[in-house]
Order: sequence, then C-alpha cells, then structure tokens
Amino acid sequence: MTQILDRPEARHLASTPPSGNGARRLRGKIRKEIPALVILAGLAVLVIMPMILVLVAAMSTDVPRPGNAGTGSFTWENLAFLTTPEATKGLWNSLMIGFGASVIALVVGALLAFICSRTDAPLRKFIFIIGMAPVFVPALVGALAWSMLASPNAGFANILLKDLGLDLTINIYSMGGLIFVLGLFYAPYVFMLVHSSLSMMNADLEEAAAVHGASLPRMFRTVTMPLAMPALLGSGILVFALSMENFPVAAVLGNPAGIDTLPTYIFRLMASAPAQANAAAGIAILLTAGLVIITVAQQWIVNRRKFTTMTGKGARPRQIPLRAWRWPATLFALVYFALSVALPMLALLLAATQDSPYLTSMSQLFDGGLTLDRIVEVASAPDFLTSLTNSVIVAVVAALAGTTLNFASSYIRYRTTSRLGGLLEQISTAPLAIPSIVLGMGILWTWLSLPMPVYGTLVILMIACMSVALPQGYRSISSSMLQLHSDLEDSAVMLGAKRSRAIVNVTVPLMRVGIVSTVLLLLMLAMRELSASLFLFTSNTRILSILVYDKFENGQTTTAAAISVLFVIVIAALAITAQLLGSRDRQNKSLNEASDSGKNSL
Amino acid sequence: MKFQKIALPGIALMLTASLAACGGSSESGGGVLSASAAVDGSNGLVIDGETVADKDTYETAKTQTLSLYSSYQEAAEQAYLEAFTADTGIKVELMRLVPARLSERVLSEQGAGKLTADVIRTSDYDIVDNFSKSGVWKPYVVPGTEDLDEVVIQDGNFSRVLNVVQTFGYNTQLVKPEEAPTSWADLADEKWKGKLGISQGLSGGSVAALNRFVATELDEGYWDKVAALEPTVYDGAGEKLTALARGEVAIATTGSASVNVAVTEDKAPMEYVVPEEGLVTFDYYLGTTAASKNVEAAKVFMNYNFSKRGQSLFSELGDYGVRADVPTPTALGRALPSLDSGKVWRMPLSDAAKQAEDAEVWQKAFGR
Repeated sequence: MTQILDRPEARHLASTPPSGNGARRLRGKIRKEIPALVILAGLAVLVIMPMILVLVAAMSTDVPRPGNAGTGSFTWENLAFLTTPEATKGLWNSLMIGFGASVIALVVGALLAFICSRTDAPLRKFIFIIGMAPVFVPALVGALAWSMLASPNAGFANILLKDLGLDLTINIYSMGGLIFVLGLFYAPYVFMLVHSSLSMMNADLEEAAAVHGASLPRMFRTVTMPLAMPALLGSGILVFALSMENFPVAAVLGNPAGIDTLPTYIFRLMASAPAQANAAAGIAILLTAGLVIITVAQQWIVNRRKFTTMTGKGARPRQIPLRAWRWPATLFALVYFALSVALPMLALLLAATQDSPYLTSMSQLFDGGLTLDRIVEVASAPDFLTSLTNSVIVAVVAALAGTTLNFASSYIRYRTTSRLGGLLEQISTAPLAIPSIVLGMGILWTWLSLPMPVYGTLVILMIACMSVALPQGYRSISSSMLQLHSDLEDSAVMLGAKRSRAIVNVTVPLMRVGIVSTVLLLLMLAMRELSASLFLFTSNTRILSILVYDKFENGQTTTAAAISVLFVIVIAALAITAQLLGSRDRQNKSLNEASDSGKNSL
Repeated sequence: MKFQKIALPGIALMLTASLAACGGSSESGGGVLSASAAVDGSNGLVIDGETVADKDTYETAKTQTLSLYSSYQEAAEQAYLEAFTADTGIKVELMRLVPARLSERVLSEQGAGKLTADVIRTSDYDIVDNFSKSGVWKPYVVPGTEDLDEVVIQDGNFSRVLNVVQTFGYNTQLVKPEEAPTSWADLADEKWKGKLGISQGLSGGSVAALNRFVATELDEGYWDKVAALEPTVYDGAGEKLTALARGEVAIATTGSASVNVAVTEDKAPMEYVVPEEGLVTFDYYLGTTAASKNVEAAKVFMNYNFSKRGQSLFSELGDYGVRADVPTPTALGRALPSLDSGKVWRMPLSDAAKQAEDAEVWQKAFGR
C-alpha cells in the first residue's frame, strides 16, 4: 500500500544561488515557479473556472450560451429553487440512495475482500478479478441491463419466475432497486481499499493477540476489524458520495418509479425547453455542498489510516481457515459475479439478439430464434461508427494528456521545492467533491466564455474527461512517484544530464508500470464517462455513452442493448490492448497496479 | 388422395409466394409502409406522376447525404426515411432527440456556428419560433403549398408538414379490449390507479396540444383526477412507449403511428383507442436551415414531404398529412376518423401562446 506521505524534504533542484541582490533572488524564485504556474493555470481552467461559473450562474439571470457569453444580472432568485418540493425530495432521495448503496457496497465489498485476502477459500485469484470486474461496466450499461433483467412484467427474471409458476415479481424500478444496483456496481471501490488494508496489515498485532490466547473470532473483532475500520469507513463514504451524484442509474431506474434525485432534477432543468440553466446551477450548488461535506469527512477518515496500518514489514497476515465455509464463501463471490457482470451481460445479449423484443415466456426466445442481425446492423451504422471513433479518440487523448498533467503536478509536489506543490495537489483532488454533472455544466459555460472555439469539437469532451478523472489520475501517478527514490534521477543529473533528460531517460522508464496503469485507469474512466458529457456533445461529437443514452431515451431499447454489448467489448479490448502494450514483459503487473491506482484514488 | 397430393405442394407454393410477397413489401419502411411508388428519375425526380425536383437539383442532391434533426418518433421517422431513400436514392443521417433536447442542441450549435442539420422536423410552436429568432431557418416554400391552410408559416421560415395523433393505448397482455377505456374521461377512472403512463407536461408539441385539449374540451380538474391516479411520468415519449409495450404500465398516452409501427415491426402487444371525445392532433413543422451544406438534398426532402407520395406515407404511418388529397390515415388496418368527422381535434396555431399557462395547471396538479 502506498501512502501519500508528508511532503519530503526539499532537496533536489539546485538551491538558490547566494546573492545579496534581492531582486535577482526574487526573479530566480519566480523563474523556478514557472513550470508550477503553468500547471496551475491548466488546473485552474479545468477545475476552478468551471466551479466559479456554476456559482455565478446560480446567482445570475442568464448563463453563457454559444454566441453570447453574458450571464445577465445578479439575482438570488435561483436559490429559491432549493426550497421547491422537487429539490427537497431530490435531496432526500439522493441521501437515501447514498446511504443504502454504501451499506450494500460495504457489506459485499468488504466480505469479498476478506474472503480474497485472508481466507483459504478456493479460487481466490478469480475472486480478486471478480472484485474488480464491475469497474469495467459503465454505470449506464449496468442500469440498462438490470432494467432488462428485472423490470416488472417484462424483465427476463420476472418472465422466468412466471414461467416457473411463482407468484413473485422483482421490481428494479424502485428505491430498493436503485440502491441494489448502485451498491452492486460500487462494491469494487470498497473491495479495492479493504483488500489492500487487509493484505498489508501488520501481522505482528494479530500474532500478539493469538499468542496471548485470543480466539480467532475475538482476534478478528478486537484487532483486525479496528485496523481495517478506516478503510471501511473511507470507502463507505466514497460510495455514498458516488451514489449520491450518480446520474445514469437514477435516470434509467428511478424515472419509471417516479424517484427524482438531485442529478436527474438538474438534468431535467437543463434539458427542458427553454432550459432553466440558472435554476439547475442553484441545485448544483446544493448537491456540491453536500458532496464537499461528505468528501471532507472521507478524506479525514482515510488520512487517519496511516497511523494504523502502516508497516515496513513484509510478513503476510494470518490466513483464516474457513473449514466448512470454504466453498460457501467462494459461492458468495460467484453469486456477486453473476449479479454484477454475468447476468447483466447475458440480459443485454439476449435483448440485443432476440427476434421480438416483447416476450411473455422464456420459451419464445427460442421460438423466434436468436439473431446477431441487430448487433451486426448496429455495428455498421454510421452513428455507431462515428461515436466509437469519437469515444476512442477522446479516451486515448484524455488518458495521455491527463497522465502527463498529473505526472507534472505530482513531480512538482514531491520532487521539487516549489511552494505551489501543495496547492496543485489540492486542486487536482478537488473534483472528488464535485459531481460530474455539475463539472460538465461548468466546463460548458467556461469554454463558451473563453474566446476559443472549443465547443462543438472533441476537445471539450477531452477536457471534461480529464477534469472529472483528475483525482484518480493524480493519486495513481503519485503512488508510483513515491515508490521510486529520487537518487537515480539525481545521479543522472550529477553525471551531467539536464533535468529534463534525466526525467525522460531515468524516471519515466522506471515508473513505466505506474504510468501505464494510470493511462489504463484514465482510459477506462474516460470510456465510461457520461454525466459530464451530457451538455457538451454536439451531433458530430457524440460518444458511445451518449449514443446509448439517446437510444434509451428514444425508446430504442433493443438497439441500446446491442450498442451496450459492443461498448463493453470495446472497453475490454482497450483494456487488454493497453495492458499488452504497456507491459509485454510483466503482463499481470499492470492490472494489479491499476487496482492499486483505483485504491489509491479513493 | 390424388387431390391431396396435388393440393399439398400447391399450398406450399402459395405459402412461399405469399411469404415472398411479404418480403417484397417490407423492403422499404420495414413493413409499415408500402413499397409501391412509380419513380422516374430520368429527367428530374417524378414520383407517381408528380414532379418532386428538377433535373439539376436532383442530380446534385443524389451525391449528398442529408442531415436531419427530428423529434418525430424514431421508429416512424426511420421507416419514413427508408422509403425516402428507396424512392430518391438520397441518404439521410438522422439525429433523433425529444423536442426539448433537440431545441437546446439546435440553439447551442447555431450559436457556436456548429449546426450540422440541413433540415429540422419538430413539434412545439415555441421551439420553432425560437429557432426563427435565433436565425436557424432559411425560408423555403415548397411549390404548391402556398394555398394550403396554415401550412406555410412565418413567410416560409418553416412549414406545417403533418399532424401527429395523440391518444392513448393499452397493453393487450394486461388489458382486455372490452375493459379498455374508450374515452379521455374513462382514462381518469380510479381503476387505472398506478397503471397509467403519461409524459411530463411542460414542453413538446404533444404535451402542449393535450394540455390545451384538456383545458378546452374536458371537465375542469381533469389533470387533478389523473394526478390522483399516481401515473408514471416519463420524460420522453419513446421511453413511455417502450414501457407500455413491455407492460411496465398498462395504459399510456401515445400516438396511433407509434403504436402502429411498434406492433407491425416489433409485434409489440399494444392497441390504440379512438376516444369518444376525439383524437388530439398537434402540428409538426419542417424547415431548412441557414447553415445547410446540402441545399439541394434539403430541397428535395422538403418537396418530397409535401408530395402526394410523401404525404401518403404519413397516412400509412397513422398520422394526418396536411394535403387534402391524400387518404385518411390508417393504423393497424383501421382507418382513423376523417378530419371533418368532429372526432379529430387540432390545436389552433393562435393557441400556442397559452402553452405556459396550461403547463402551469399541469405542474400544479402533479407537483413537479
């Protein structure tokens, strides 16, 4: 486990030359800060300006629009929207969803992590993959799949129950359904953090408890659990925040149930004609404020972790024999895999290939026959091909540019004497507390205000993807940066290399696995991105997630399913390609590092 | 015995022939629309004896790909475009969005100078009027439409191209025909509590017209009664139609064309109703954009839409064309009431200004 440690002693860049001339010294100081200032300017445009514009919009009569950058005059009226029943109900629903989903994610994620890291259950390597796998399924696709699986009356599961003569209906269009699906898809975040905490735990403490006669359950209760508590609480609150700001799942499963959340309310205000963008900005402030409180609490809890589980020793913690529970434990993991990946993918595949989209009995699936026609048709349709190309270009550029930017911020923070390093870190991690949908609105207004023709091109989508994933990218690259001692790079400089050459020829190659895993992580996040892009795309710059959403909104569910199947295949193909490209010689390392990245981004 | 021997292959032959015939008719329009149109492209474009485009325009148009932004129901629009492409050889790229999002998209792209649409089809007078104010349109009057009633609007900025039906339908697996509501008043009956699906009543042509119909033709407090049934409120008509077909709601407001296409193409278990108080219809507008790069293709598309062939296709889909010389619409093999039957209500253009106050009534009833 890597910790973001306190700032190391400044010791690398050449120290300021002694001089009596104050002005020269000041100039030298400023010159030294130029790289940091450049990065700071970049981050300001990515994060700070969008948030300022949302704040301004929340207190104005107008928002910047294409062709008109003005924001009208000052008003408090938009904040009146905060007291509407929609807003208060939305806030209540969002809180309920956040709470419920984090409880499910905690139970499932922590149990999986425990089984995988500390027991003798069979197939533990596979359980590790199971714990991570849902990360690769976009939330929108997961929600669509579950609506096909368990919508009342027409869901495959309900048809099957009816076929079996059981008077039982699963209704995924409900608060319970929403919470279940979000909990399921966010459990990997808990899994990653708790898994690392459990497997890196100082074995001495447990040994001491055992030596002094504590039974296994007692040792677990009095030593292991308290040690893992910060990881549990930290990841639980993270899932709370992610679920609260989630748009796609609430849109697909909440809307038919009449459950409005703050993100769906924001979207409705933005998507009405005429758009009520200032009111949306008012609601956005409420949602962001809620998330800031939650994230600050999360950071506080996660940061406490270093006092409890830090260890320099490599001793493996005790393995707990499960005896008769060995297979049931593995079965639990397999059931989770079925619910989070296998069944949803099967539902999508059936929906995409069934002859008629409307079934009354599962046997009709085979009467009408399954056909790949729809998938083939979708795969060759111009809108799919354009969106696919757009998605891949956006994701690759955002991942590479994002990694470069994060590398620079992290380098300045941990390897130089720059006074701005801490600030760079704070801004880079700030988007954790900003809902993606809000960041998307802010980015839209930022680039409509700036005199650069970015709106309507893929560049604005790349910017959005970079901005949303800054915290993950920064934490991921920083963990790798901290693992590598600076002596090697310094040796190159001592031997006459320029600093830039030393970075390119020494540090970057040594950090290769960390860099590749960061690129991979950002690639995945960019491919999945929907919420921030909702207001940024134009007809020529639709990305896959938007295409799926549009098809869903137009009632073309079977087409949406077919695109989703291809979408998941593309994501898997990209992940495997990045994996192969990045670490031909250390094939499994990168995925493990990616999990490490995810974990460190929490 | 001898007869049987001859009869069996004979029946098989007939079956094959009838299946082949089905295949032929489904080539254009996926089964909803008839394939039959006499197209002559040798000297301009002439369809069923009517000139749609002159030679120069048509020859250029054939080399272009038209970009259409439309909020007409996606499956119906796709069927229409398939017929258009089959008749003219001009390819179309469709961007389908619900009216409110289409409006936002068009205004944003127009403002940024990035509008890629050659032609836009949408409902809701406020939306097309806003497009006029933002300079989206380039006036174009299809020859022969000048004299039609309320077709050429704002000096040809845009034209009323068809009237889409808004009624209600039911899922045939959940509701027996004899139990289905037969009037708008029936729809507000207690027995449909929790089983009804409607659209959010704030924007879009169908909503504006239905709200006006409720305000002028039905008893006061109608929306309050419907709201008391706790219906599922959908943001988009497409989503709502799918929910009805999947039986997630038993009854929903929908269009005859939407039901017609879904039943014919996808065997959706649905039926539509012609309510006793009448069908509600709302205007759909079509216009070419100032930003259009495929001017000729746009012109051919506009002309086609107002040709007898183009207008008849709307009838076949289950909606009302604006020309008087096309057949009355049919949906699921049944003719809809004719325009002069007193069973077809069209929202007057002059009532567009009342949209906001009607929306307020709806909003008050549903508390959203």
